[in-house]
Amino acid sequence: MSENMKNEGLTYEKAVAELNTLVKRVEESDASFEQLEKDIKRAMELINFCKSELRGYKERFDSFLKADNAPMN
Amino acid sequence: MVQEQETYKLIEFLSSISGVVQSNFPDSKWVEAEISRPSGVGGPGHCYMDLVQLDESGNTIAQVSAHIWQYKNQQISQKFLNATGRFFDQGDKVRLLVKADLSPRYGFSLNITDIDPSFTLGELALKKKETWKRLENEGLTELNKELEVPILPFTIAVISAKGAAGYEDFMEHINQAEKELDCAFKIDLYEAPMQGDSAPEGIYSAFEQINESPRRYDVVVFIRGGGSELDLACFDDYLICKAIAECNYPVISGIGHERDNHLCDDVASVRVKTPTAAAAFLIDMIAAQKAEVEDVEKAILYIVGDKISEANLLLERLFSKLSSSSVEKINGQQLLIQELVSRLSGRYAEKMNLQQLLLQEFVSKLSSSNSERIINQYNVLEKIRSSLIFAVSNRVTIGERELSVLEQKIIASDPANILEKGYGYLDVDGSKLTNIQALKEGSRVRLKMKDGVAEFNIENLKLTLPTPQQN
Repeated sequence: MSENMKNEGLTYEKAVAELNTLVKRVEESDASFEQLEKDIKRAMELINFCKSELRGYKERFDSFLKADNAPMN
Repeated sequence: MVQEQETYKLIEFLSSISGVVQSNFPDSKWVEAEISRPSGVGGPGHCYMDLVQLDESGNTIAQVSAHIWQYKNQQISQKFLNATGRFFDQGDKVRLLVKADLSPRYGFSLNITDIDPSFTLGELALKKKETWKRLENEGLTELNKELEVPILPFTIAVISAKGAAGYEDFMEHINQAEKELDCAFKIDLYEAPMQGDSAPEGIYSAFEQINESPRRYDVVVFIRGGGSELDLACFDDYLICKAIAECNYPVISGIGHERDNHLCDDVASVRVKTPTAAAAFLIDMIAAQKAEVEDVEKAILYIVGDKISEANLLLERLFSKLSSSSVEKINGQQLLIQELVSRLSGRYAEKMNLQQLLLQEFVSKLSSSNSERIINQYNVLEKIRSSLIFAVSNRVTIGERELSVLEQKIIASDPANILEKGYGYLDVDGSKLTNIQALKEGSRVRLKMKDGVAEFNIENLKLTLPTPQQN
């Protein structure tokens, strides 16, 4: 399974859940070095995905707030 | 020697003339004249005056003294009063029954024995008719009517005599309305004589002052309390009608009582019967607008209240959705928020903008209490909007912190960092080596270091375990 395919349908919520699982595993398990490397790589990928989602969300929220030139003011 | 001619004593001579006058004018005659310098009219004594006739230029072409003896004074004066509403006075055109009288003691005079008030009234009516025709010819009859009274006539110029009953009535109603409607009129009084010969010029001058004033008025109120028909006759004067017609502002004319009708009423933008009615006209306009604005205010409060509830609900839902950190759900909320914002700014903006025209006047002219309530509602909505922004921003910040913590943990666990510092990483039989007792003779060991991996089997294993401490 490619990384792209792995990220298909991924949401922020799912990403954070997976991240927590990975962190717990990395911190506590006695996995092999290869497994550890894979987990770390996946975790960094998920972190980047989450950061990007948050950034995009923030930008979208800012943009529609700017679009609202309120008659309220 | 001068022959002595017949010489009379003065009284004999005048009595002789008087006799001639009496014999030649034995009967009373009706004469038309204008009254000048009357005194004692309707009083307990004799009444004296001059009777004059003027030419078209106003020059006196005939003049004679006249009197009404005491016994006739009250009867004649009262007759005129009953018909016209007041005693005859300077300048009145009258028709009198007179008898020539030459008294040796007091000279020639006309003895007035009766008066015809209908002549005076007819003269006024005729003059009124002529004035109206002149106004029509000069295009002045409709001029002021073309000016409409603004829907909120708060700034008012009043032409009246200060202290006059009509003005007091007007102000009393206005003051009462200010309390009841919670509003404030701006009223400037332009004083003018409201009866007598000086009235037309004084009133014309007041209109000139109003037109030239730097203050812009919504309306001019021209009022005078009731009076006799002759007292109010000046309100048929050409000069006053011209002043009203040419006024820069719509004029509300409220002259006299119910039965009176004057040319100034006919040329004014609005005619009412009395000063009180003039106040009522203005108050009704304000009250109607206030009611309309209050309806709008209710509608806006309803809309704003509705939107606040919607926003509150939305906020609660947003918080709950945010707590699950679901971007999908957040996006869904964004759509709801966008819809709310666009509905507030779009769907209602037009309606609100239309009403704001009314509100602007309302806010500036009515006392601030009601408008403050509307502004407060706007502020509440703004606060909710700010809360939304804060909540969303806060949620983003929390998300970022959570991510940062996870990232730190991952980085701390990354074996690459350990290897970088010169340490190694041991796998024993495919599992991470976490304790020394996991090592067995013959176990397959993999050692990973920064620069490579070494694999080997354990031979000659000797374990040294720490001796448990004795307490």
